[in-house]
Amino acid sequence: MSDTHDYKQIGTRPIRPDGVDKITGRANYGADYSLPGMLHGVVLRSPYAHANIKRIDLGKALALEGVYAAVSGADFPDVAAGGMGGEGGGDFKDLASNIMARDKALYHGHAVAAVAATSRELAIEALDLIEVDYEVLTPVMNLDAAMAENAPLLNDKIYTMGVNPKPEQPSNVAARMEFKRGDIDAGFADAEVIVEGEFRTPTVHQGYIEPHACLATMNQGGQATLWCSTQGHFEVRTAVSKTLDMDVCDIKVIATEIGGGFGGKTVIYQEPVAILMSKISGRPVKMVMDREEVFRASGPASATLSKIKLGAKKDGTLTAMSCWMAYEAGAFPGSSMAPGAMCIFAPYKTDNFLIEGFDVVVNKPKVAAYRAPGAPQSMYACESLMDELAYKLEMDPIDLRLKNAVEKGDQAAYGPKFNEVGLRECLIAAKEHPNYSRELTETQGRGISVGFWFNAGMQSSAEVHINENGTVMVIEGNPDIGGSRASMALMAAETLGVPYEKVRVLVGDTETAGFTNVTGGSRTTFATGMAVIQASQDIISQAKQRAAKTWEIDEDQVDWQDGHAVPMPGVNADWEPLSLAKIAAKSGRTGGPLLGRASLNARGAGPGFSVNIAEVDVDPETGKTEVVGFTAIQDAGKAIHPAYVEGQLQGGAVQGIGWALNEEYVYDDKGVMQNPGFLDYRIPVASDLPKIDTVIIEVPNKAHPYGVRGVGETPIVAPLAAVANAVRSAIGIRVGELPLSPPRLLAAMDE
Amino acid sequence: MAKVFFPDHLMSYCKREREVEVQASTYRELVRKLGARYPGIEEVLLEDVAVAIDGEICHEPYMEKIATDSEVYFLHRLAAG
Amino acid sequence: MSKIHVVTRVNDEKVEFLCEPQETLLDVLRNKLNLTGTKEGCATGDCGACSVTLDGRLVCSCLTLAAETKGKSVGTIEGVADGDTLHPVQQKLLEHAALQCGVCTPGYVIAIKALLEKNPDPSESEIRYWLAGNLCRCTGYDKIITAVQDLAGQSDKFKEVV
Repeated sequence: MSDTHDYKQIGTRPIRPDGVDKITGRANYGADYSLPGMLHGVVLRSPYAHANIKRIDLGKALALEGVYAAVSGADFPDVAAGGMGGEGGGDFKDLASNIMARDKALYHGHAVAAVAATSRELAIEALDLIEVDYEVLTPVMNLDAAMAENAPLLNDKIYTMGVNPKPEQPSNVAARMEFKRGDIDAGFADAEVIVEGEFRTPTVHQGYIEPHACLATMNQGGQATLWCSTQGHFEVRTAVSKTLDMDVCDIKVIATEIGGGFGGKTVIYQEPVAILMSKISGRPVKMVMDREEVFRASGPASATLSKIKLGAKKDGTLTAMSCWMAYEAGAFPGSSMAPGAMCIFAPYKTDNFLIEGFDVVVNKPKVAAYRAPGAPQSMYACESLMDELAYKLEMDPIDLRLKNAVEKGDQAAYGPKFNEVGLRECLIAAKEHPNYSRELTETQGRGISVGFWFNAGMQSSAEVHINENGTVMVIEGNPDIGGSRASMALMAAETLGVPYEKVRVLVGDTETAGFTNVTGGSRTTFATGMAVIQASQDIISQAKQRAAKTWEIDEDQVDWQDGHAVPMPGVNADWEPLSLAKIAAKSGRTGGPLLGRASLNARGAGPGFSVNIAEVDVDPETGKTEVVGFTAIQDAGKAIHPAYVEGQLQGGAVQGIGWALNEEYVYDDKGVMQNPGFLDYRIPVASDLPKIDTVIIEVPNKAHPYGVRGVGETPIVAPLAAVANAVRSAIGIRVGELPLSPPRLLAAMDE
Repeated sequence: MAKVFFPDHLMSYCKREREVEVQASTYRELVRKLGARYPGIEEVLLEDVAVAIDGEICHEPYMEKIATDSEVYFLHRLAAG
Repeated sequence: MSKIHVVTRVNDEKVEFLCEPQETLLDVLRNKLNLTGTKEGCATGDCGACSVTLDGRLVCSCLTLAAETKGKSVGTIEGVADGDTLHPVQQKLLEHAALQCGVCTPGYVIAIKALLEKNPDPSESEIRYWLAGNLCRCTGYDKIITAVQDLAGQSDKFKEVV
């Protein structure tokens, strides 16, 4: 199926509205704001991965000249337990304890106190004067240790949820979930071929280039203003309100330009600390993490273990799929295990499956969402094993997937039946792509993988203002993390019939824009785009009313064509069409300024499927893997700005390649991360990579006026297994643990 | 009658029935009727789950329309990245 | 410790400041001269977001002491455009949608300009190795490389070396 609409502006590649500011250094990011009299806040972090905090004395730090505030957990209000919404979103009480430890430090780098002083250097000097007595405990650093019998407990109030009856003993397993359908035993009994495997993925970081940064000021009336780099300033407002027990209306949050987030800036770390220290000092307080703090105390994504088993007929038809999966949540419950479990078998028609998932606390930083949270890890396991199944069946891996691929009307493993989805189209495009059939050398290998993410809807607001010359101002509430101003402007321009160049987009703060959920979940172009389109339609309906008044005819006698009000066919044909500019110029006498608005809770997000082809060359001498070709194919529904859609596919591919080949947190036996910098936590660099070829498939999502599905998250899901399968093809051995680093591959090849 | 499907995590509420038929024209009405049948489920269905009605996922369902032949699935609410 | 008096040139203008001996050029640019277009991504010379030129040579301003710039000439992102005309590197990066979040972009502009002034017709491989010190987490580098390739071979645009 292809999109037959004839759009004038959607699908073109204009320069983004915020481009000039960002290319000239004018755009202001989180750390770029300053205020007169501003103090610099820094955090004292736990030197132990697991310790009881017996005593904190801030006295000497406070006595230092130039120090205006020092705080520890005791200075923050008690926060009631309560969900932050969203599976894996966690709990506000835990969020508060993550922001500033109360009785216990749960990871190396956990914030235990903070100081604000006239300079950053002075504040750091003051940290040395804070006295903390710790009772050091044994750190629990991985799934095996955390789930072992008699494991040391992080929190003796955690009893495994989802087990009936409630367990008698507390545990590090915070939750167990089960998803199943059909008869798993009968399904495996029915199978002619069975494959099994264990797959591990390491702790990885989102790796945004801009560290967390904020600037807060609170006045004597208790009203706070906060500038911060975030994916969602309305959620920041809620979180600050909960953790500081403040009224939402006393918190104004201004989202600065954001230097990457990938899910890691949907949560907060320093913001309440800065506000509290501003309240205490009566001065603005700026807090900026350094890179080491970003690694040690923000993000990361869960390390996982998946034990998976697939059964199939000789023709490739899947008869049974099962998976036992455990996700590290970090210091507090709430990993992305549930979406991982819901995604793992989503691409395939499957009558019999069983998924058992565990959410496990360990002494590492609390995990944060990372692009399609949970899906890359689980689908790496499934797609690796699908590859083994293809070997065993001596079947082409794409044919195996085509045999089982879901399409409209099939019931997803996570519940509902699919509407139109583009998995088959992606698989066929992969099969036909020249990169799938080109010759490889002896040390090279090719792998493919399917990727999937639900995509999200949720709440958005938008206003469209028409200036007196007919130009357009869009006000919306999603921080622009990858070109969303351009897609909003394109959708407004297309709907209104005005040139893209005449549309400006403002990302409003919490007092300017209507409530809007985070830039995340691949929801911005879909849901906020829908609000912008509806607000533009509101303008059209008002413009038609104004034209009717001007022409002294009934409103239903006015049509809207190409950015102009025109009389309906058969109505007094002498009237010249009225452009938006003409209507706006005289809006004072037809009822005042033109202001369109819309707010909605978008339903009908269109699931996004992808297929990736990876080609690698593994050096038999060193075990180093070079990616020599990579092809990302994805169903976007409709690409509003194709260049930025390609950019999402390419960027996600490279993050996934890093996850597959290089990236991991390395810990010592005391639970201290050994590689908290970009030199040793090596994200891919330009010279590591080939061109990333892209193919955008467009199977429109009928729930969106222009067919949008959302594209940001799916791209990171498939690369892990695509690369792993390519390595398997190159060396003939399956290594079921990421990253596929040179020493690990060399060891496997030497065996 | 709309078909309603319960996932595993709601089994403790719905007397382990996997699939039931309910006559309702909105999500609220559906929840009210399910609440009468399964005490305690009403709050969970209004506060804790997302729903897919005929394949369209809604994060915070309340007043969505349900057709006589609709298929309704409950899901975990998801975090966004 | 007493502060050091530094007279230098930044973007072809005479600039004077006092700094601590250990203070980096990056901190002085951002905090004393209000030139916040140069970004800090790591402060350890690994990410390239703080790239500037020192007497025409590409350096990480986080690894350069402010005092070292005495009597030299510093080029930052704020000085790249010619009045109200974007530099060709800036224009091409925009046309190719070679930025997403944009925080690494000022560093790329400086690094690419320095490359093309040194080697106006680089191969893809030369571009990739030159830019290996500039991290971008959003784009996968593809569109950045394409934009530079689009500029390669146009030596007339890159004659003037600062």
